[in-house]
Amino acid sequence: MGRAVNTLLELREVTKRFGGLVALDGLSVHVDSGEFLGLIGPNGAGKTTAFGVLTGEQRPDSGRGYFHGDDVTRMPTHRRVARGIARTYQIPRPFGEMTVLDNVRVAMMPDSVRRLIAERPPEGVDRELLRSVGFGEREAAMYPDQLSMGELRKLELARTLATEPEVLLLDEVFAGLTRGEIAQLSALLVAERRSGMTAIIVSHDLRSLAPLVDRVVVMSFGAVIAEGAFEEVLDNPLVREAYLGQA
Amino acid sequence: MPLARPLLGWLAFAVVMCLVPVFVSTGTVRILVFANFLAIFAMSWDVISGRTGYISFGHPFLIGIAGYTTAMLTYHLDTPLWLSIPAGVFATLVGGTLFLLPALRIRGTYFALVTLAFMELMYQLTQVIAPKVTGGTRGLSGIPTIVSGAIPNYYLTFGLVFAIGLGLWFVLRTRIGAALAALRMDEGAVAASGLSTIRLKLFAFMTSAAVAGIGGAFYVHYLGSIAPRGLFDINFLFTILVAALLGGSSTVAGPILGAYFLTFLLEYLRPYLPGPERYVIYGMIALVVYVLEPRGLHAILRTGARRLAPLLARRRIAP
Repeated sequence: MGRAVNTLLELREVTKRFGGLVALDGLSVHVDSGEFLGLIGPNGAGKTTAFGVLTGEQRPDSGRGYFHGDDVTRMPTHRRVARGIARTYQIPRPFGEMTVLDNVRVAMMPDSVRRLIAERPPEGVDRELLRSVGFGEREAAMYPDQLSMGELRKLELARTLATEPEVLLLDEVFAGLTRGEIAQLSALLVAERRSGMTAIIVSHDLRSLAPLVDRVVVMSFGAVIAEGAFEEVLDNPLVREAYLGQA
Repeated sequence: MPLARPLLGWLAFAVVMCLVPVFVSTGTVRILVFANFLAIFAMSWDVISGRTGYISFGHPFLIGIAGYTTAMLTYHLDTPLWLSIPAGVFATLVGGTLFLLPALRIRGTYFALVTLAFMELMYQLTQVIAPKVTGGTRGLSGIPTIVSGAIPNYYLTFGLVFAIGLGLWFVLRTRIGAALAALRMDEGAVAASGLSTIRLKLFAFMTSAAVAGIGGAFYVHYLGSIAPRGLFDINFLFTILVAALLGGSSTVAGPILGAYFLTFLLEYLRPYLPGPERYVIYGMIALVVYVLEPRGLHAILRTGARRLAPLLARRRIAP
């Protein structure tokens, strides 16, 4: 099949337990190059854990992860990021004592002590990145605790873009945002999509997610229960049951 | 960041400190020698703990490795100092990697406790294992000194403070300093930024160990003796910590400032409080400073200078 050539990032039969809790139960999911995939499911379905396994922050108990067809199951996080997998967090995790600009600068740093000491940071790229998510000089000088949730999510996005990713893993991008902020962030994501970026987006806000994604995967209890185009998936009785607790 | 002003600051610091022995008594110069050593240890502590947030309660362990290595080499084998001191520093680097091992898995209080255990372990080992070699409980004395007299020792140790301080300042003002600070704030987010947290920690630990090793080796050759009780001592440890925190952690000038302040505080309290109750007073003073300004004396002086500058400028315009 042609799919193998196209697949950018993939989990195969991944199981992850936390004590007695099975967070991922033989999960298989993939995203193709240039595709925007929506990952949805009720709370506790294992979406964030799946992200953790994709980035290497969580070690799976069994199963494998592939990027560009290479087995990356045991690759540490920072090397996966260097190869092009970047994520945002459900609860934003900025460096609290640094300005917005410095936050982005950390994400731009080369992974080499020698280069960090000897080389000057590239000029202008940092501000350009901030501008790309709608931040001006005023926001650049602000500290994370002065930002709204919408701005924090933009900062997270700017930081992931600073690592020059091939695939973005966006965890609950719309949570805690106003309608206006959702519209802004959606516009940014549409722009990324047009420029050929690949993404997996986790969101509970299905209405905001729908226009952004090519395909959705629905998870429940650590496994995929449905997959396909948005409307057909939402009509699926299994999905309705998982979300609403009834068929 | 413009270079000229901070460099002028370093230069002024050097000039003032070089002139100090001309104006003060030999007794004060001797106290300053101890302050210089404390400054080196506090700078070393700050590279691990102030920058990366890995609180070390085991710094005497690192200092002791260098001290004992060079002491034993010179005492038993008559090794020349130019060889034994680098050997001591090298041994501390090896010790620094041991320090790194717990930091791969734990941080915060647990890391501090494990490093405290390192210090205790070293305290016991030096007394129990091969006391003939280490000198056991009594330690080793009659170790060669590098120079003699208060003033030559002062210039030697101040030279070390200045070289180490300037070196650290030059390195840590680059992006590596920001990377280490980021590590303190959120290690997971640093990894998610594509940086190897292990490599960054290794750098901080090795740098800190090297500085501690240099300080420890020279310290032993200043005292001319080494004994486990004074070295692997909780009061010694806390003096280092308080110097760094009081002066202002995560800066280079802070620990130096804190070391001078603390040494003189302890000395001036001595006539009134000869016993260990002095440490209660210094603890309270450290606490007050810390509550007033958690970033330490360094920040207090900086804010003071900023407020004073416009006043002075106004006076100059309108005489």
